[in-house]
Amino acid sequence: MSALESRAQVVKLAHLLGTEPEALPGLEEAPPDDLRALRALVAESLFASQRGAFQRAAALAGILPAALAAKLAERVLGPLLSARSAGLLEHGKATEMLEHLSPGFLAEVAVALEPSQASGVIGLVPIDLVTEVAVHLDRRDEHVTMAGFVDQFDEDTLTAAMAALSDEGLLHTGFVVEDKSRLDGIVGHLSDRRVQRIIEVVARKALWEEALDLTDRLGDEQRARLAAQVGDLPDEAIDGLLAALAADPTLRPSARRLADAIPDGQRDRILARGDALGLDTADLAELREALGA
Amino acid sequence: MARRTKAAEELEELLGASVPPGIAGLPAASVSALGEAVEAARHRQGRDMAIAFDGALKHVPWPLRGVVRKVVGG
Repeated sequence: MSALESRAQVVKLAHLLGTEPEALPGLEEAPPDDLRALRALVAESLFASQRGAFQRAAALAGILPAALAAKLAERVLGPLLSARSAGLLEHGKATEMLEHLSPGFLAEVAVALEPSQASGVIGLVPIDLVTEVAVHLDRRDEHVTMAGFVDQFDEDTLTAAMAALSDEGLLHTGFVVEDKSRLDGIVGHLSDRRVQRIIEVVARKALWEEALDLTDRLGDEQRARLAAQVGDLPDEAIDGLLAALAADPTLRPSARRLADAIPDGQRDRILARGDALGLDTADLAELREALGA
Repeated sequence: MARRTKAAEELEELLGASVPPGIAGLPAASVSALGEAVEAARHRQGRDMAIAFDGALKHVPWPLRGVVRKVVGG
């Protein structure tokens, strides 16, 4: 599991640095806790390097009427400057400004924001606005950004935001959420139909890494709901799961935990597909082990 | 614990703080790439900030420019 966690941390660090994970080779070999601590150091370093400018921007907002400050933020200062300055805003002024900012702009601000540096302001955003921003972020595939906010939301806000995401968006967001203990509650709020749709997306888009990470984080009840849907997938989708496991051995411990939650008859069918795939003997033996045979 | 490389020392200097041992112990090439990415992000941020402040002064209605210049002009 720590390999998947490290990978998710590298994705988040790359996002903070405005680059791609491929530009940070070898980092995923580091422990996830160390990568998390590194990300906090980098965020603080980026903020500190321009602290004076951020303070001036916040001071400007403080002396202008909220409507004008919001207009300047949206039309002139832009999302980056607004984001970095957000944590320095006086809360009363921030609340007033939120009434005048568009969800689309707030989504851009969210992308540039380091949530841990603006947690006080994030808590001021009303639920309706959070869901609108979540939809914008999802459309832009900004799931790392979305995940950063999940860690800051209370239960009601979190439930509303997750309901607003697409099935694929929810899966990608869950993969990079910092506090994975919240995933069980999130899945618990999803209907059976939605869980089914999510697993169908997993199969269609080969998102097994994300799905296995998710199922690993769930308690018995919620894991069983997802496992049952995996067990119901058609043969060609099961072939995709087996191919992913054959290609990436780090997924196999998670697959074993998922397989334990799949009803026996369905698991036997999955193993039979493994035989039919024509994998070499060693790979097949490992897959059977991974799937609990 | 792996020996701290020169690349790790340079990264710590850049960040102004000690990095966790699991980071400092990575191969020098990985740590160097990380340092380069941090430097690039800082550079980009500084450039973007300058552009934003220029924009503020250009687009604010003229009666407000004085106060805006006074506050954001540094």
